[in-house]
Amino acid sequence: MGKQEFLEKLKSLLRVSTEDRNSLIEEYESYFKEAIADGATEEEVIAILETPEEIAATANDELGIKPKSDGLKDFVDEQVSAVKMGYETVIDSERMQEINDKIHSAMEIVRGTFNKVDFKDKLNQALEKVQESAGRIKDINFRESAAIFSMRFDNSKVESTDVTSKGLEVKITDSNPKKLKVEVVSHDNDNLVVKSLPTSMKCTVAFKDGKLDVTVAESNIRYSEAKRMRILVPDSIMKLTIDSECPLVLKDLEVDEITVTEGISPLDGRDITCKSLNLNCKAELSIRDISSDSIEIVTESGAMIARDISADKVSIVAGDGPTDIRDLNSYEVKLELGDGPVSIKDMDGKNHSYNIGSGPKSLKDISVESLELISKSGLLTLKDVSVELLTGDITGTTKSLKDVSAEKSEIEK
Amino acid sequence: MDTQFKKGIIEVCVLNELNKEDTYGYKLVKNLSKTLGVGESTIYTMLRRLTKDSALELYERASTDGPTRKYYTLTGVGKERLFLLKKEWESFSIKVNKLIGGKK
Repeated sequence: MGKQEFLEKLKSLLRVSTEDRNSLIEEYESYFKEAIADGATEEEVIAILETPEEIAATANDELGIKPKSDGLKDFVDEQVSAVKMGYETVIDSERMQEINDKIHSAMEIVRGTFNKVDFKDKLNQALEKVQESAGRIKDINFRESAAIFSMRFDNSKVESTDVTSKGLEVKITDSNPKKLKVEVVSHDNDNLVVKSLPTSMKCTVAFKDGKLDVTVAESNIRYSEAKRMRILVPDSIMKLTIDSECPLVLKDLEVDEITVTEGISPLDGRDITCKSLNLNCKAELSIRDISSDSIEIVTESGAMIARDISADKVSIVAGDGPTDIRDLNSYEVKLELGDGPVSIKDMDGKNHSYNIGSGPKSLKDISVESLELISKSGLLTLKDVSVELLTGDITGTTKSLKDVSAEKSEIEK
Repeated sequence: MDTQFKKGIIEVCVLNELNKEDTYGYKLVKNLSKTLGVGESTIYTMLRRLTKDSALELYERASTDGPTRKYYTLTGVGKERLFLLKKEWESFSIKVNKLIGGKK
């Protein structure tokens, strides 16, 4: 066996996430390079190293996901646990890839399994489980995951300055991202206040012409993950623009226009009243209790929870993470969701359009005038759907329909 | 030896090595696997686990005698972890020494 064969074999035996697999293979490639540079031959290196089976056993034990199963029951269990895990760890972006890998491999297994077994009976069982797993989403408490944000700010250092402009741009730069938790809230004072805890944390706070720059040096925060900062925005501010690299909470805000660009960290928005809300983020997103004329969301990871939303117009473009949208009342809704598991529930309004990827999808309690539904593959559950006009294309999906009524249907089934 | 116990020892050794200086996987494996009597996969897997736990970070450094290498460096989280593990180890070893070396 040569180096290439050794690495290929190891790759095939690893039952870990793609990221873990790539990292381990890279380390073993480096081992070969270094040892050969030291004068060893490929054969000698292989003799020194553990066998691919031994390496895989260690890695799978420490980092691994369960081996691929070949039965429907295992598929269902795996899918349920993947969906559950997705929501339980919604704040942990590193595991998202692992979750998506699991779901995709589970979907592959079910496609293969359906060809072998009594199709209808087993399908119904699977759909019930999907429904059940999607139902569990309601039990997840995102706020609990983000509890650290609501800790008190005793002994805070306060920096304050007058805000003269109606608009405020906040830029938060963190040289050690994901460590500093930032909370932005409204207050009825005329001053812009930046509070931090503990007082020993030194950060640069510069304010000029409606722009607030907060920079936190790595040396100040690297020894603790408990550093927090709160920015109090005066009520006089009409337009708020935030560009952040830190985990961010927007809370109790009443501003005309809010635009947020969030880097690699989670974004949590609650109790917000505005005319326009524009969120663009790469990691996990949770919004709830939002009232706005217009809401536009782009979330790259797709791991998202949106609840209790009231708006004239909503547009959400999300990646492959698990997505839970609930209690949304809007005249016009446009959803473009990725391949992760999707639960959409309690939707009201006029013109809604949902374009959803290949993950398991559950749509429940939908009451709108016109619904365009597009999904080309995967499991689809529709329950208690009442519309005047149903259009779209769900040709490639495996469907479970219950209490679905449409005065006029032009859908491709 | 109990697997979990062994894992704990390996973790403290890996963190301790990296507290002395940043280094790359191959060198760390060479230094540790023979001394600790474990296969290289244990060290590599440990490095991956610690990186995922934000205890370690990776960066690239060019080398004069070979290819560009990926170096591991200890983060603040890693330093805290090392401090706690060392403390645990010291307290544990004092107790064990008392037990096995104490007066009859």
